[in-house]
Amino acid sequence: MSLLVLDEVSKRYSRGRRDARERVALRSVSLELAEGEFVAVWGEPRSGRTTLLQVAAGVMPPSEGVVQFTGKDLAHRSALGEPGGIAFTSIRFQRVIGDSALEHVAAPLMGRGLSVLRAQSRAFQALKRVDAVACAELDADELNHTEAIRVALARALITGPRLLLVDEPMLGVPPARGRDATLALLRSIAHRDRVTVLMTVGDATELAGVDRALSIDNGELRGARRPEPGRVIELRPDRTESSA
Amino acid sequence: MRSTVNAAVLSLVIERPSYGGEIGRRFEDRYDGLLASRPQHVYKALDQLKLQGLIEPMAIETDNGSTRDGYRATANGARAYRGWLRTPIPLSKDAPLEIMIRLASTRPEDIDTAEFLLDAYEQAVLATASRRPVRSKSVIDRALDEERRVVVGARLRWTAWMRDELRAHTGVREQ
Repeated sequence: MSLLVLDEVSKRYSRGRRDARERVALRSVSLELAEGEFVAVWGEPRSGRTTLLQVAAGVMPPSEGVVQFTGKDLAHRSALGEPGGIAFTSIRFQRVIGDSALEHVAAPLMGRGLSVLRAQSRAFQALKRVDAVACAELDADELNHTEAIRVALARALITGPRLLLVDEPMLGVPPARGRDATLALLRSIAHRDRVTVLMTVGDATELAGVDRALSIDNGELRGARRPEPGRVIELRPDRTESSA
Repeated sequence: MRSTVNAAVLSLVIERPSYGGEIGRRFEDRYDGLLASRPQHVYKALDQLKLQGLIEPMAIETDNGSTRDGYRATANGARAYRGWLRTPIPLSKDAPLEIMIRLASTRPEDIDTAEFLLDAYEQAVLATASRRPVRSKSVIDRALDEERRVVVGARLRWTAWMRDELRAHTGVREQ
């Protein structure tokens, strides 16, 4: 069974209050993700790539279609932030939660019956997993882009998700070594930890090493399936005549 | 049709019945950078297409009012052309070039085929892009990786541009 299934999902937004026109962010998108798969969606700004992740996370209901996680419709039961559920990676760190990276990573465990010490111990392990222990005591606003995405991944992973959604993880990460290292980390999260990773990228250089590379444009997702052979159209007799 | 050059020449005859020299000139213009071919290759392709019954002789009137021996497509030729354009293309490193040759052979009004080829092109480019990079050890390794990545990026941006063009052409773009 697929871990995540999007079946003919569309998403429409109204364009402000004065203008009743709609913007279509997703158009009949179908996608299936398997456990431990590392999938990237390339798209330009306003292509629908972030909406795709928001709908896949269940934080935004589709206008049409169904989103299922482990066979259950996300419209009926959210799996976001649940152990064994879905994690959405964000590099925004709100100061009200804490100052240090360790406190931010531990935050999702608060209110779950764990002591602060226990939560921070697990946060430390999560930081170790993403090779960011050195950032533990740093303030969130001290982190550079490469460190911030690693800390954000630790925070997302701390709840033990089966699906990790990451919006543009390489944004601001320096090319070459920083980018390759981040890609290698995401690949190992998928392949070694068997956490399915769905990420969006705005640069084709960030597709290297993924299991499947898809593209999104004008809300249409491509590459989710192999393209079918096109229909062969017979030329009209008059066309043949005009050519001949 | 096995020969890409033959298919390309057939598409030019379908576009406009003509004689060898004129077809050769259009071939050079249309497939510049895609297919390297000398005039004798075009004449050879015309001979083979005629033998296969895909084109047939006809008198072509030139600009100065004289007539020359030329060719027009047969109904079988038109069918073979359509079949060639829509034959599935295996994902390989050569796929983008093959697809561009077919796109260059597509009539401007045949939007369905252009979209089919664009989808195939994008799939081929995405497959290339997802190839795992060489573990960079030297500046040369990194340079090669980077060049490959830059080309992929440019090709994907081109697919986005082409889709915009096709939408504008068909007028289906949403507000």
